[in-house]
Amino acid sequence: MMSAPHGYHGRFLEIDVGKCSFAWREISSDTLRQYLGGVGLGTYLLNRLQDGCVDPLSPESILAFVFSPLVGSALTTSAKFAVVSKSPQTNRINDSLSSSRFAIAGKRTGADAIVLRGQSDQPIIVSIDDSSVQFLPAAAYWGMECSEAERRIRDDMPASDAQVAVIGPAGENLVKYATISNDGRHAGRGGHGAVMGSKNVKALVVRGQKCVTWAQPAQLNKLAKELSAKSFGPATAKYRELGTAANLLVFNRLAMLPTRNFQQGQLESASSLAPETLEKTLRKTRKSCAACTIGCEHLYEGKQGESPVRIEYESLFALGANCGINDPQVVLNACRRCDALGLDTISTGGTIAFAMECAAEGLLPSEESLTFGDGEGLLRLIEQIGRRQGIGHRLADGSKQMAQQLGPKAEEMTAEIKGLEMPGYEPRGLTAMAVGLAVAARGADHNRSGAYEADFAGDVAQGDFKSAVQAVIDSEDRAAVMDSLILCKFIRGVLDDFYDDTATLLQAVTGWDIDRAELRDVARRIVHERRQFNVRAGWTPLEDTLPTKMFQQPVGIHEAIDRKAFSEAVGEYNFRRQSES
Amino acid sequence: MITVEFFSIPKRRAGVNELEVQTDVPLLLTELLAQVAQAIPEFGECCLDQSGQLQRHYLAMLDSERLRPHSEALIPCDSRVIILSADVGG
Ligand code: SF4
Repeated sequence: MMSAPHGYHGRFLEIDVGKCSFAWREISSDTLRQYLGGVGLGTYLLNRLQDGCVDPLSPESILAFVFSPLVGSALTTSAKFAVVSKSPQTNRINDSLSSSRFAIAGKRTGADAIVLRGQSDQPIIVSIDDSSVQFLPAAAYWGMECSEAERRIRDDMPASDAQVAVIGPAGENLVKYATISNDGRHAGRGGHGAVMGSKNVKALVVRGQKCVTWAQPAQLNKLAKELSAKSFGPATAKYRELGTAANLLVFNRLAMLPTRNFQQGQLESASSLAPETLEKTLRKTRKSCAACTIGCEHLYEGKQGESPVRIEYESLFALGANCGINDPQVVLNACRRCDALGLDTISTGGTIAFAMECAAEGLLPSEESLTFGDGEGLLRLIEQIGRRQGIGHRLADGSKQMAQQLGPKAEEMTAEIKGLEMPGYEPRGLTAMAVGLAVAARGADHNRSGAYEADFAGDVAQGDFKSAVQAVIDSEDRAAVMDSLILCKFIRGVLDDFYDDTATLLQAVTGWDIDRAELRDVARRIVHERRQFNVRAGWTPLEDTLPTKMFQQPVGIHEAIDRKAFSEAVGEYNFRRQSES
Repeated sequence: MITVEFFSIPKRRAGVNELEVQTDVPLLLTELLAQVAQAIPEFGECCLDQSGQLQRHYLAMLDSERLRPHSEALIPCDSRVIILSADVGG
């Protein structure tokens, strides 16, 4: 076997869960240098191991858990992994990040990636302990909610340091936006949980002793200390003190808090959901992923006896404002139930909000609890979606598929891109983000493009779609590097020069003489690779657009988007991306 | 009068939701921030740099448009300026 570069094992583990077989496969140093890890390496593997046309819920699909060169180092926020597959919700590429101890233990199995394919004929757990792979019966855990399944499976494993990623009832029931859960975190968007459920895999268990080497250990330690020290500064204060939920009042003030299925930009009494209010009335604890000095997780206790629940801006927007709900107890409970069932909060809230608007317009029966502001109804619908019961069976396929069945009027009401429900960034108020959302390979995506930064920084003026294109490209490129190294995006504010700083970290880990120019090339290659998968899966430029209502209805102080200027920008973006390749 | 609204970390540092800055004439952003820092020294210490501009982690907005540091644009009386954390990642 070739020797692996520092920071890597130089191989991945391919497991066929239908045949209960596995094989170790080499990854060349060149490939690792070209794609780094995480999202980049995962996309590389997806493109080579799966045909673009494959049904994501069929045995031929793959589900890749991909680690990265920085995992296991002392660099803060580096304990992350990517999950990559074709999305059953969008039929396009899907890559999600999750974090914590699973990432560290997974890499210690000796694999840079673990790829599942095939379909078991009964529920199983795939357990990897160092280099050995076992296929264990999972019938006893089938039906269990995420945290209970994770705890029980970990307790039942012979080694106490095994780490577990599980699906909940939503994944078992092939809800198209089901998550994979580990350490209380979720690989959330696009339905990886359904892909895992389709393979009849309840859990992936990882444990190992195989450590990678670092090229410059002393330098890496020094860099890690410096990065940690900076992570205590003002750049991350928002995440430490309030969490992502701090966005809520800002966006509400700017009339950019998507409300009632993106029909409004402000929620009345939004402050009742804000972290500044919640922390005054509820007990709060703070947590962090393993190896993180920021600690952005803010957990709030609900009523007595209810477990604390992690609150993020996206969940508050999706299950609160977007459904017209401002009762914090309802929203906390809705988040708790989504986490337990293994449901992506953004798509759950987005699909329910869409159905609520359909009911208001008489396209769905309103007696199904489909009324904006109906908290009890929201909670009932979440249960029905997770278990595919009643109307939940239809909602479980997401808003796009439901709209196609309901007809053209419903299709004009959706708030999704490529089938993925919109995150809580209002395109009518954020010009660069509007383009970023439309062209994102994964669908409506605030993580692979952070183009809203250019809007807030004032680099792109409202309505100036022409200048948005470069901002979107730059933002996607930075995200491609960040998500492949992998470092948490919440640390980006402490980096003085993104490409220089990340190249320095990678040099210390790998010993490569990589510089900013090469990292930019890596970024473009990864973006291109993601687009290529979509092309092979049937993508056309017509998909790179926004929901109809963005072009037809103003929201608060924000005008409807000029379709012509917007389309020209998207065309320009696609032309430039094509020219790069 | 110009009203300054605080959000996110600037609100925590300022300890208030908003501040009314009394003025009969339009102000430059630097002038406005100096008056805010005078009224709320904790805000000045935590959020402004030595030149009296907002640190790069914070930004000011007027009518949904960013007010750039050293901007020569005058902020009209009777307007509302918003000061927030620059990172709106979620
Ligand atoms: S900042 Fe938050 S999401 Fe990022 S690594 Fe730390 S705890 Fe995890």
